[in-house]
Amino acid sequence: MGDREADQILVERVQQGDKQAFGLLVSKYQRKLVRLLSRLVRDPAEVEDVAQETFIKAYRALPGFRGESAFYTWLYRIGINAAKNYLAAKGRRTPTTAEFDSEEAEGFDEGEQLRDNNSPERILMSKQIADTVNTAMDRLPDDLRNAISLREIDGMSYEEIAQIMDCPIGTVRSRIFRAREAIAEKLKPLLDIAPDKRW
Amino acid sequence: MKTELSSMMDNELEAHGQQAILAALHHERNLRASWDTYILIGDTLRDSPELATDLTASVINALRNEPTILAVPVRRTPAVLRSVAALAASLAGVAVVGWLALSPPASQTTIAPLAKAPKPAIAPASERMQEYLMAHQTYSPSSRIQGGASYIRTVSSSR
Repeated sequence: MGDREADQILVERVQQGDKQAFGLLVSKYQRKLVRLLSRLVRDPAEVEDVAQETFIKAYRALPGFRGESAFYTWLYRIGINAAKNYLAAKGRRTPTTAEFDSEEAEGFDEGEQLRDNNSPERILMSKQIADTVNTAMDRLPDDLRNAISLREIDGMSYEEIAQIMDCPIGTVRSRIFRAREAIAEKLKPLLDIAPDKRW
Repeated sequence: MKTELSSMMDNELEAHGQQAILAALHHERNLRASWDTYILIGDTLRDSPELATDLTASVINALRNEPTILAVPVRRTPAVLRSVAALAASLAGVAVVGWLALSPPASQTTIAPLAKAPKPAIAPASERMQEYLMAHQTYSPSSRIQGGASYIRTVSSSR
């Protein structure tokens, strides 16, 4: 099952009235969307406003989503339109459509610029998260670290990882889960979110 | 349950297992928190710049005021199936047209016998002749009908 099929299952859950399933989609795509929108809207606080508006518009439009394109591609188009409308309302120039070809934008990385524009607190928080994850990765046993790297960085399926690591798929499943849990445990103090901020 | 959640995130969980996890996510906040953390770990490893972003809670809170969506999910028909369906429809159309063109006309078999049906041997009598026969039928030796029945006039003669 690919990303597209997995997303379609979540979309159908939302179409049947399951708002929590939409939360999973928001969680999955929020950073990717923020990264893309930052090309249009430079101020990070405004980027987040537009991103939130994009998700709400997407939710409202979801009954009409027929799965003819991937959920993320569809979300991206809504995001671009929301950003353009936002800039037009502010009387600012909107970049041309050619500057935002969706396929080109998916591979876009504006990390450095976003860091420069972000608030010091947010930059610090992002750096702490990155350091914690990288340190936790270094401390993982080799088999766990390799399994999660092949999955998250190289995007391989469990079957491909099983062939590379010469082990059953069930072992791959277990190693990736244990790696995530070990890293999540280290992140816990950083992500200790107030109950009212949870969903 | 978290093992399945981890598999679901990697699109490596079969459909019925996925439905079970989605149902559990409704009432297990810790499971939702794990989903967020697993996503965050993946984004970090892929060097996503904006790791402090967390819009999920604010979006879900904003959606509390939105009416719940209840739409009939439309499953996308695979392109191969669409092509096969179009081809089958075309062939069916050609078959119907061909069958109509090649089969003999139905009129030749059903109407012909009617056309050849024999005409009545006796033509309806004229009104004057009918009155004459009525007046003299009691004297006719060929009449086997006696009494009032002999006054019955045929429909064809009264019109």
